[in-house]
Amino acid sequence: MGKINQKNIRNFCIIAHIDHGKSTLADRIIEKTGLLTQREMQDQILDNMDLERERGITIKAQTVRIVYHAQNGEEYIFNLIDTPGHVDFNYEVSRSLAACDGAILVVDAAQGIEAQTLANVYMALDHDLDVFPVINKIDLPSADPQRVIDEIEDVIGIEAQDAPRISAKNGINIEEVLEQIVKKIPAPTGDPDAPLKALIFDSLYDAYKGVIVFCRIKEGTVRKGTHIKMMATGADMDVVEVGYFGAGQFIPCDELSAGMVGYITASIKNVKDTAVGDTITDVDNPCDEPLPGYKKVNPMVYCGLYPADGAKYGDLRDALEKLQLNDAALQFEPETSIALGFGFRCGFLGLLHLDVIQERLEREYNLDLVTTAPGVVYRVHKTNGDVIELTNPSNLPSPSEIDFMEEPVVSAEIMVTTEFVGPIMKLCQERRGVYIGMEYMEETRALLKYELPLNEIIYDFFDALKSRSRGYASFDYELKGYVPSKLVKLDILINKEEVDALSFIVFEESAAERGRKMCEKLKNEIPRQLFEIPIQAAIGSKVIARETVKALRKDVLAKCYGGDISRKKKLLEKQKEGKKRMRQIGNVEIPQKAFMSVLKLDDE
Amino acid sequence: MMNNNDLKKQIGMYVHIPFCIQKCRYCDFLSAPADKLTRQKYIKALIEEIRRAPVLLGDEYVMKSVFFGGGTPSAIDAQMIAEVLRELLIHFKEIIAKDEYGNSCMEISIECNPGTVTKEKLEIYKSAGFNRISFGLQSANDHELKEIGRIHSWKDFLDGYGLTRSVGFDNINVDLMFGLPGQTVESWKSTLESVCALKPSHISAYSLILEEGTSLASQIEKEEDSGIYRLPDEETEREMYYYVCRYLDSQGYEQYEISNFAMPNRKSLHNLSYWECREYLGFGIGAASNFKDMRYKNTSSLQKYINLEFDEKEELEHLSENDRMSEFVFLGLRKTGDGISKAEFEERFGVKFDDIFGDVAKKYIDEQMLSENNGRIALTRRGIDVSNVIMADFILDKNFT
Repeated sequence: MGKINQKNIRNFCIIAHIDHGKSTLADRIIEKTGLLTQREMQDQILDNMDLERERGITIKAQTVRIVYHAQNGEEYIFNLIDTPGHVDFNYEVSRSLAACDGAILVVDAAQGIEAQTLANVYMALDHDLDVFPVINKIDLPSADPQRVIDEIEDVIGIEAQDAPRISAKNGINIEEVLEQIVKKIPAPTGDPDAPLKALIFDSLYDAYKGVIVFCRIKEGTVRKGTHIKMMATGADMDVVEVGYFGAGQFIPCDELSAGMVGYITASIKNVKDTAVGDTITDVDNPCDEPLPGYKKVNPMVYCGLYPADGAKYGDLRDALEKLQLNDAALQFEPETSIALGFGFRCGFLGLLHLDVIQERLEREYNLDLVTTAPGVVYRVHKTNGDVIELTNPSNLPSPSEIDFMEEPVVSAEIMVTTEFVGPIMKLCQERRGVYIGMEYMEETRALLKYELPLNEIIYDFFDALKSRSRGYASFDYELKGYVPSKLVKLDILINKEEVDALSFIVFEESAAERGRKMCEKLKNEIPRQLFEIPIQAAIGSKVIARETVKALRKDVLAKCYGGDISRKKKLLEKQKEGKKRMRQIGNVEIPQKAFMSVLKLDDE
Repeated sequence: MMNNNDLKKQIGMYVHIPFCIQKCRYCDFLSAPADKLTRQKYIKALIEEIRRAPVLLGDEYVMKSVFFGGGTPSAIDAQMIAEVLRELLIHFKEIIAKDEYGNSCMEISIECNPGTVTKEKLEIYKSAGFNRISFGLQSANDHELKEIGRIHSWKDFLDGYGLTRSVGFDNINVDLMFGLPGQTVESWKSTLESVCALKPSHISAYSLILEEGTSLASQIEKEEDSGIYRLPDEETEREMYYYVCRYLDSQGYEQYEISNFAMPNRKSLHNLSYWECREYLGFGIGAASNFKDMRYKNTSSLQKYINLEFDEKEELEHLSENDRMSEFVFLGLRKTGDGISKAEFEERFGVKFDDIFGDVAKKYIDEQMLSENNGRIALTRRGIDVSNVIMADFILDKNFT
């Protein structure tokens, strides 16, 4: 391939509400452009991790370069940048968008616009991307493309009459999408001879090459040997290799110049040196100022992770370190719990991120984990003027030292059919939501806007939303800031002993209810033992709820003769094994899963 | 040649007769009705197995007990039973336990179903050498008997019991069950009074265990699914247990195991050998042995057994030192009166009991689940109720050294 003409490059991404067919369309585009034969296609190429495929979500951004021979006879380079599809990864999404010049908006021909559709479109428009819509799933019996097209024009205000009507699943009208990419997405701009200015939109740790930085060159040119510098983190290094993205492979090339998307390796050991959103420049010929929009990603949700088997502490640390190589947003530091022993306080972007990490630790590293209740980061203003960012409830200063506390709130948008507006508003009220407003999308659908405390939505808000709207509500949020709040630490006492791993911070008025539910839950989780076990919920020294696990009444073998002994011994061995897997708190044995029970307080 | 001294290892012999008239509804033992030819073939195989066995034993053993269990040994031809016992006594003649006058002092028991004994049968047993009869009565209440699928009535038992006495047996056990469907504390008391009036030398009182796969278990499960609960609740069941312990004590029986009660000097020697971790050999299908640090069972296939495939062992397990220490404790603790002796532990294993189990023993002594007196550790009343929890804590990892 000769010198690439900037005019013939298209950098774009696909945005969609979950399940509207983003990954499937990506697959079809790759397939149509002939990068892979159909036989080599594995469904949803861009979702690399097993977990991504299983859950149908994209966790890490993936990128692929493909070549398209357009109807006008010219050859185009498409850089398709796949964006993470979950609100936990909003910042990553925004950086991926910043690497693009345009976006394809995929909308389900039956469902129409959903909350994430809007959030994604607005974000794309914020980044000055040219967005063109594609109506997917036109072959569904319930498809109504014209209605959806009108809705897009009415609600989002972008031209949609000539939107390709496609079925990504069945490969209908994909050609039209490719042509519109050429026509509707602008070619990149930028001067190849200007000082280097490149945006990092992702990175990946490779055991041989070190960190592989994914970047979009905005200005200038980078090649092997260029002495580069990360403007925000300050790290500098010599480029070892540059290249672009084949399907699932890295293809080296001579240089990357303005308008191009590709990767850089430079023997970088730590992904932390290559923060997403940072700007790369040339040390010898630096640019004036970095690209806008960089921010340090801070975890929003924290929890304790402990190995079920204390001896696996080292293994857990190693596994977290390895995961962190590829996931700069994951934070962890050692902590000790009286109940659970040695473990780590870990920070995540959100509950999905937590879930994904936990599952990868269990699956890929074969670890059995105990997770403590996730919490958000509270701000504690002390009377002496200090401000603490509290990630572990156990570290809450005594009430006399606290002036006031703040908790994070989010702006949430919930799209729901009008018949469920009532139940959803009730749900938001229950979760201490502040009503901001409501817009009707069309006669039957409304967009509800609320401000909600983050700690009210991290556990099970999404599930509650789905169940109260029979699955129809969709939801998106972003962090808004901190507001003062009346918060208390709820302690759980088992057989009169405080169990640190079960403490959590809760809104004062919800404390009694939460405490009561927690005690009930624990009562069901803790097996009867030789003595009666009181379970109490307390704020400070004041007990606000109590349950009792009754003493075990009978566990005895009536008969044990010659023929039974082996079998009975096995039963006792099993009983002993079961005990081993429990945590000893004082003289009470607590099953591991009890520590997670706080997560499921609103099941019923 | 008087070599029946204490230096010899005691061994018990168990003979399994896997036949019955009709399977009881709670029974999960290896037992079923069978035709005459099968029974004959089985007895032939049994005799062959016994003939081959003595080579296993050197002269360091003394045979203290023989137990014919089932199934229902009394359901088959008494001559067959006599023949099997005769073979056993001939082939293990050298090691039969003798008293100071040189007479045999073995305990030789046979399980009988009250509905199957006749004067003739009992006389044959007596002359063959049996000296202990064990009746499976379960209840003196005919409704309860029917409920659990027993083939006999209380009256049948009374007749059988009378015959047994008249033939001259003086060591008689009666098996009873509590916690039966529909049973009340009152009916249980009445069963106990009726039985004690006969003054059997030994009583076993078992809490009903619903074994998975039995017809009683599936019936109860089905009933409970539709909201019918006929089993006594936990509290009532325990009350029945406490009652039998108290009542039999008042009647002169000593409780020497969780479910066993005996008049003075009438403890079952054979069953005690299980709880004292002594060796035993099992003959017949599915019969279990504990011999030279191995536990194993004979084949459970009648076909294979009749084909004399005695080498086909099941559940073969070598007992490590740790296994034997664990067994010593969890089996020994079943002996509710005596419990286990620390000195005996040390003698057997060459290591102090407290070095191995000191911490866990202390914990349960502090919690009053165990008691310690004169170097013996036993379950307390409360300890019995939850004994599995306690025993499980005395199970050592198989290869811990």
